[in-house]
Amino acid sequence: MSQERNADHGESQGRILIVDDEAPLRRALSISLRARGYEVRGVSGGEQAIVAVADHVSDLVLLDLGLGDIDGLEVLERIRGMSEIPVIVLTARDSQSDKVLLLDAGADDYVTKPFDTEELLARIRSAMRRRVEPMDEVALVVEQDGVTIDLARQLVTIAGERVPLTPTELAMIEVMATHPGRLLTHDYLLRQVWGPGYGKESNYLRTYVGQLRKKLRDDAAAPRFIATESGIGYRWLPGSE
Amino acid sequence: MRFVLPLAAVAFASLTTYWLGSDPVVAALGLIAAVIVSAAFDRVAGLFAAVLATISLVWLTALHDAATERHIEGLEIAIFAIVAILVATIVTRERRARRTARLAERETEFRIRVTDAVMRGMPVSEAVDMGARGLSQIYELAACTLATSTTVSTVERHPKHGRLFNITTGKISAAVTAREDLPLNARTLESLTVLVTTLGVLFDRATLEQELDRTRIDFETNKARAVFFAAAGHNLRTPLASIRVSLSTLLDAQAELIATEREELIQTAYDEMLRLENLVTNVLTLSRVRSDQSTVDLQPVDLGEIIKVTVNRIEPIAPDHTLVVDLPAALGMVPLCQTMIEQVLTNLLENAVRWAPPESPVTIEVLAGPSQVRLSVIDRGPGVPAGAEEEIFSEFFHLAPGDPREGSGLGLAIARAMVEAHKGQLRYGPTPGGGATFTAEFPVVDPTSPTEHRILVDHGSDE
Repeated sequence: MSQERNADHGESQGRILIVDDEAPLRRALSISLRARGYEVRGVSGGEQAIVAVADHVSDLVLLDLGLGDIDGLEVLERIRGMSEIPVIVLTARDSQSDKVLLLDAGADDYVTKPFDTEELLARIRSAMRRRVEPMDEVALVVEQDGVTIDLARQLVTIAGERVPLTPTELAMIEVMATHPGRLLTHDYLLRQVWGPGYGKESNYLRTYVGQLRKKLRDDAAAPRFIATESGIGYRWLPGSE
Repeated sequence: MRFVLPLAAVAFASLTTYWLGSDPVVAALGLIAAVIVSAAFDRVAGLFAAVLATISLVWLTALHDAATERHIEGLEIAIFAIVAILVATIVTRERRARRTARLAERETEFRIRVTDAVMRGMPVSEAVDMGARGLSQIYELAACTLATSTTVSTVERHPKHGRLFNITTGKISAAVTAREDLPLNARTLESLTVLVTTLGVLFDRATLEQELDRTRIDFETNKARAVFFAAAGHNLRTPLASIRVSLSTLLDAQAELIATEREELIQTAYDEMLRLENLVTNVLTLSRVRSDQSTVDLQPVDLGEIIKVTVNRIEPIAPDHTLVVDLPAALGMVPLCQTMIEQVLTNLLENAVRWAPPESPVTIEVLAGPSQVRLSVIDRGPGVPAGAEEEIFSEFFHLAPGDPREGSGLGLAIARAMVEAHKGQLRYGPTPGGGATFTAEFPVVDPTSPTEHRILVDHGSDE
């Protein structure tokens, strides 16, 4: 709808498309993100959002699910039908099954209203980084907090010492570490690691994540590598910048 | 009584024929009549009367014979005895058959009455009371106690208690006490047992059905409540998100804001706070009206005055609309809850001026009938599209999501809940020629005479 840009804040951090039918939230987010150096464009409806994505003028979409004209989920699916642009969903729903549905439909991440602005910014940065370094360009060697993961040689070392890992554990690390910062659903992880026939066995994941945390000397309460998103999935924490 | 009656009857018949000096044939007819009277009372009395009558006939014949020098014929006496016993038996049987038929008729009639009452939703506890009362009447019992798995009822009808019978069939138990002077015979006891069994099945089914209904209502209420709170939460989160983003950006030292942006964020936070406040107030109002009908304070109020006050309050916020008030000539005091009616009218008027184009008239019309008052708010706006006429009354429904004219989505839901709290109805209909008409109908019950449904028309002071 409105072209809300502001070039006064120096070098652009990226271009964000805000899709929200709530004018006050759209306005507040626009100002907030511009103040942090992003170029922002706001639209109020799903159809406008799809047109805007097709124009390739944005680097990331902030999509509010409760849109007036079409269902937010449908917008997400249609965006995914034509673009790999990172999408972060703003949702007012608390239900975890809704969130799993969103992630499976191709959302990169979500934040629940009312969200912490800093958290939203962190998610935006993380999603943007993934766009800059697509998956096949992810470094084959990940070094983080004294832990080195060499994906090519299937080797994990802590302070130079090799960590003994089973093939399944290695596969889990590979899937997660190549998607740093991204919330991976139970369903996605199971299909990637165990195969297409899996999807409901989230207890497998609990077991293996527990083992991995022990071997990587990680702490579930204050994770350095694997963060749990209760009822939804796991997130590999990108190393501190 | 069963021995006194035959003695008296036979003695009366014998003495009458003796004094009349009639011959034995007349005497025999009189004695048979005595037997019939006795048998109509009781089988034993009938047979006793037959024996007495035979003896009496022997005595009367002897006296007669002595006068006429005729001989007693043993055969004649024997035939009389047989006839007397036959008559007694036939009368007794006939009487019993008639009584059984009458009993069956009363049982059937009673069964239909109880079934009907239960079908109409009579609570099981009341139906069990009705059952105990009915049983003690039909079988002329001294006392009767009926017990189902959930309720017990006892009826006492007569002070002289006879034998106690306990009947338990299925999930019902009955303790019936016969009257001392009216013992229950086996056949009556049998039909009593059948009736108790029937009642047991009926009550059992009614208990299950009523429990099921209660559970269903509980379930529906809880589900509706959960949906409402989920929707309310959903609607509260969005203004909260706007406020949080605005304030955190204002507080963030790293955010580079120019003066106009700073102002805009403050304004957004403030506006959204007001919206949140309005939403919270509405959510609370709606749940209070729905959960506590006792807040309806029915007092005779001057509806015309309420309308004027509300119109005066709305006019400043709708300077472009013409509010037309159309009241009947003699609209007196109407029993309504003033605060609620003001709220209903405010919500309807706010809606009308929000959606109807400027300069268009909004009419408030009142029609007063003998048993109801009808309050309509008529606008010439876009109206409600076909198919959404009922949906507009549900919580958080928005016809034009994202439209800045949209309110909390609770105005019509609150208005309807308040009208329904008056046992009235709020409906939407299109205005002829285009627009929306919302009509609230209130039944008018004079609070001083609850049985009389009429509007209080004060003819003394017209508007």
